[in-house]
Amino acid sequence: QTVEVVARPDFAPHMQALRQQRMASEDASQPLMQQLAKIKSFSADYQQRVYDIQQQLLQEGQGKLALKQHARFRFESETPEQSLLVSDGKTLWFYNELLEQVSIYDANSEVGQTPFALLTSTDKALWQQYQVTQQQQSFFIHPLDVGNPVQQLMLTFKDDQLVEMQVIDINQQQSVYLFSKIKVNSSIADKLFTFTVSKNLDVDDQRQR
Amino acid sequence: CGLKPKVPPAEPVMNAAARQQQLNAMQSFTVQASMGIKAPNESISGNLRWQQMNANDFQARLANMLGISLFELTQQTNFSELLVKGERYQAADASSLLWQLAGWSIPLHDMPLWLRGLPGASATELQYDAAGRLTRFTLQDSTGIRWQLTYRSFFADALSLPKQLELSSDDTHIRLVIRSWQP
Repeated sequence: QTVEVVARPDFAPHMQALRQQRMASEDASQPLMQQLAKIKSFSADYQQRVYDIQQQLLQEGQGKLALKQHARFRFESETPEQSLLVSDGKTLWFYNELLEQVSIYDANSEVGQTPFALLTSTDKALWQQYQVTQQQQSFFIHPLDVGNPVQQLMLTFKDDQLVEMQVIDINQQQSVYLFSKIKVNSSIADKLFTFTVSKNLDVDDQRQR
Repeated sequence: CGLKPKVPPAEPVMNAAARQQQLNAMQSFTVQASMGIKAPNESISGNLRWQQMNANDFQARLANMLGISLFELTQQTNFSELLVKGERYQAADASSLLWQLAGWSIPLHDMPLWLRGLPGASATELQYDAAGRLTRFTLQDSTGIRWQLTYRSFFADALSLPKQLELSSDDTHIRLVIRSWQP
């Protein structure tokens, strides 16, 4: 498959990311870990665009992301649908407002292996399951396990701020997140990373007892 | 064209025969919906994008909230291809293939019809409301599973396209909340 170089629009198509990734080779987990260690907490608005393999725009969305060391994150989607993925590092809640349904998982379960769990983890054993390369300000993270639904995670930083994240999934679908209103190391209450299950919700508890 | 749901107050539903005729005439449309599936060993929810090109051909994509694709189905007159977990599969019958691969399924064969509120040939025990809208029926899909399909709400315009649907078989429950219809 020949890859021609495409001028970088504000949302880089994944061909661009794949080409950059192949050029860098040495392991960059150390510099990435140092970069992430500087980010004790992070909050931002995001714009999401999802492309298929032919780079046809499938979905646009926006919402808010909050991260806090260790393993705490809150990914709140406003559009295309109101849903919430939140974890306190022990439990992961996935709430879909339209369906009035909340699914609950153990944070360390397979479902818990989201890019956000990785971003907020300094657990060496977890990071060893990924190969990390660097291209200027962008880090490319590949899971060693080929079955992982996420095939490539790209993180781009600018003066210690995470400004862009790209996820390429196992079906070659690409999600690009551009962050704005970024706040790094501001104080964020732990309470933001929990979810209270109200009675009217259809609860689907998948935690191992 | 008039398919875009208008903001309420609710218009009166057009008379049943005219509505039936207009629903049948809808050959190409795109639906964006939230979909939740609770199957015996799988519970997922995500954004469904259903693009109907003509009477037979459609493309359906279900992606989770992170935009990660759960399945992509391309259906043409004599060809259906399913992309699940990075692998492409072709099959005559997509519903049974989905069941084998993803551990859950949905009656895909008649979906272009029941999405619009039309029963399809194999539907039985049909129920209608006072406005003549189909509100419930039973169908047997290509894998032999019997589904009870219920329309919980409709868009508040004259065409009154379905908005909230529920499908249940004896071990699987599917909720569909349609956010938009586009021509």
